[in-house]
This record gives sequence, C-alpha cells and structure tokens, in this order.
Amino acid sequence: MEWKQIDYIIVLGTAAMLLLSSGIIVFMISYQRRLYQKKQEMAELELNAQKELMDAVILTKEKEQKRIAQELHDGIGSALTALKVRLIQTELSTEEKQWIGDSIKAIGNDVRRISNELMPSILDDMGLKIAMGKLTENIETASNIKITVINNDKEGFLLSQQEELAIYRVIQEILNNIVKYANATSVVICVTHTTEKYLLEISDDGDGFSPTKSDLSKVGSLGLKNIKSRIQQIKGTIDYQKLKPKGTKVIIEKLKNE
Amino acid sequence: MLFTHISVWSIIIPILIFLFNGKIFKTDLKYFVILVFVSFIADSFNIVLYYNRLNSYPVSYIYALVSFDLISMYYMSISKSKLINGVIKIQLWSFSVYWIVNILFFNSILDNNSILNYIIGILVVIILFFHYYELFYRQEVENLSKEPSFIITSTLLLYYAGTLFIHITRDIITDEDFIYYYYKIHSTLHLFLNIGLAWVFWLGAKQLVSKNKFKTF
Repeated sequence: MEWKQIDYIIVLGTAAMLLLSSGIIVFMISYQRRLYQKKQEMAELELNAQKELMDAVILTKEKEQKRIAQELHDGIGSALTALKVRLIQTELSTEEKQWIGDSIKAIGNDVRRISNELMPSILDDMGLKIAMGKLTENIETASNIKITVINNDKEGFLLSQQEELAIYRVIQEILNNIVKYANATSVVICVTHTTEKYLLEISDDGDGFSPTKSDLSKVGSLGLKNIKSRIQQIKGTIDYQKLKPKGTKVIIEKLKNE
Repeated sequence: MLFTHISVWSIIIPILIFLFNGKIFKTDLKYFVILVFVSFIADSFNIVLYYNRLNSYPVSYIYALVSFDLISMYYMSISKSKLINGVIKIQLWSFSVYWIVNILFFNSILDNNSILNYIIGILVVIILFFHYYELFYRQEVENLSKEPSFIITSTLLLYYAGTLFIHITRDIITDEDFIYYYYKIHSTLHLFLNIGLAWVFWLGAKQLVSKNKFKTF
C-alpha cells in the first residue's frame, strides 16, 4: 500500500500526541520519586531536630528537678530539723510543743515526698525495682487504687542509670494518668526482665484508652509526648492496647543494646 | 475487522480480573468497574447492531455521557482538593447539559458527532492533569508506577490524547483511508486501555489485601 500525505498526517499526529503523553508520564514518575525522597529527607531531619530538642528539654528538666530536690532536702529539711531542736528549748506548754512538733513533722514529710518525687534518690541508691515498689506504694495510698506488681526477674541485663530513670518516669506518668483519667480500681504491673529484653506491661481496669496520632500531636498531651520521647531516648517501643470489655494495657519493651 | 473485534472483546480481561477480586468494588475503583461493565454492554450492542446493519450511534452517544460521568465521579471521589472537585463538578454538569441540549436541538442521536468525542477528550485530559498536579503537589506516593490512580490516569491519558487527534481530524479529513486508520488507531488504544484497566484492578486488589494484612495503628 502506498502511503499518501493523509496517512502521514494521521499517523504522525497521533504519534505526536502519544509521545507527548508518554513524555509527561515518564517525567512524572522520575521527577516525583526524586521530590518524594527529598521531602522524606527533610521530614527526617525535622524529626531528628525535634527529638534532640525534646531530649534537651528532658535533660534540663531532670537537672532542674534534681537541683530543686536537693535544695528542698538540704535547705528546708535542715531548717525544719533546726526548728525542731529549737522548739525543745523554748518555754511552751507540752500541748503547744506537741502541736508545733507534729506540724513540723508533717511539713518535713511533705518536703521529703516532694523532693523524692522530683528526684527519687531511692532510684540511685536501691535501683528501679525498689523505686518502683515505693512509687506504687505511695500512689496506692494516695489514690485507693490497688496496684499489684509482678516481677519476673530472671537475671536480666543491666539497665543504665539513664534507662532506669526513663522507665521510672514513664511508669510515674502512666500511673498518674490512670489515677487522673482512667476511673480504674486496680492496676497490674508486670515486669519481665531477661538477658535479652526488659518488658513492662501496665494493665488497668479503667475506661480504656488508645491514643491516636492526633492525640499525640495535641498541644495539651505533653505527658504522652514525654512518655514517647523517653521511650525513644532509650531506644524502646511502646504500645497502647484497649482491652475488652474495659481497661487499657500499655506494653513497653526495651531490647538489650548490641 | 478482526483486530477491531479483539480490541472490543479485550474488555473481558478487566471483567475477569474483577470477578476474581470482587473486593475492589468497595474502593474508589468501583466507578471503573461500572465503566467496564457499561463498556461491555455498549460494545455488545454495537456488534449486534453492526451485523444487523442498524444504526449504533445512539449507543455511542449514551456511552459517551456515561463514561465521562463515571470518570469524573472517580476523580471527584479521590481528589482532596475542593477547588479541583468544584471544577470537575462544573465540567460534569456543563457537559451533561450540553449533551441533552445538543441532542434535543442540534445533532440527531442517529448521526455521528465527532465534536462530542473530542469535547470529552479535552475535558478528560483536563481532569487527568488536575490529578497529576494533585499527586505532584501532595507528594504522598514514592513510586508512582505502583499507584493505581496514577496508572489509570496515565492509561486514560494515552487513550484520550491518542484518540483526540483522530476525533478532531475526523470531520476535516474526508479521505476514504481515514476510516481505516481511525479504527486501527482507536482499536489499538482501546486494547491498551483495557489492559491498563485490568492491571489497575489487579494492583488495586493486591494493595487492598496487603493493607488489610498489615493494618497498623
């Protein structure tokens, strides 16, 4: 068949349209990938910067809390002791002395409690296990929530001081959240510490809670952000599970560092 | 004529893929599933009418409107931009009104109307470019070659841009050979479109399975 001018027009015209379309498609695929990767890199950088900032905030907060705790312990604590000694020497009736003495004792206890909450010296002195026991004991007394701690300690790997502090703070925050919002009557803390991993499970019988991504990005949810940040700091993982029929289970896992 | 028949009956490929992966009807791809079935019915009618030497233009007219509406509805359902949705909606209504007015007052439903075809071509290409812009603007997909909406858009672009030229020139060129080329080109692109749809249905179903399998919080 001999090709006429009209044949060329039709074939070339259609071919040009197809070529143009194909060009657009190829351009889209290749350029999109490059742009996407760039965007991912930017997001990663931003995330790292945020993480560093959060780490710095936590570190500063810890330092400041430690300083205030020491001030409370050494300053106000010593002043109260001196006041108590002075009280014995003053000429007051036994009843008045008793009343002032009791007040000083109550203030001393409060100062010690606040100081301990700010910087648990027990954590440094006795370790996470004892500190956790003391913490749950205090919360149980203050809130009427029954807290059971199950320890499956099997000569686990050593947690660093920073890791212990992070886990302690996370437990503290979660228990505070349960007391404040969960309407729970009992809490079970299960610790499984092996040579490979440290597994912490905190279950309650409250209303049930499973934070979404938007919950974590809310301005008010500083506690949740802190928990996430502290877990990231120790390279662990956290998972919230809403239990049926009610309750929440928080699972924290920290694998042994290689 | 054989090649034309192959291209027409190639619609069975996406239908078969759909029959094996019926779950994709729950996704936005349902508009294309309906389009495929409408296309199947229209093509079957066309063949019957052709062999009975009857006029098949009314079927083509109705198919043109339905296909454009379904394509528009698909893009309206996947677009996150209010502006783009609004523009597509305006196009959809304008074209539907034009279609009715044209049949009632200007062109008979029994005559060929190339203008209708290339108006659809231009409007669809505009919608497709809107979708490209949105994909580019949002940057949510790394590999576009695995994204069903991109594949479907690209397949439609090749089909509508490819046929646009022959639709535009159909009224201008009166050469006898033109019809020969018209059917050859159209059939090739139609075959390509059906294969593209089948691929998208398969990919859509595959992604649906993996999405359910790895449902994460």
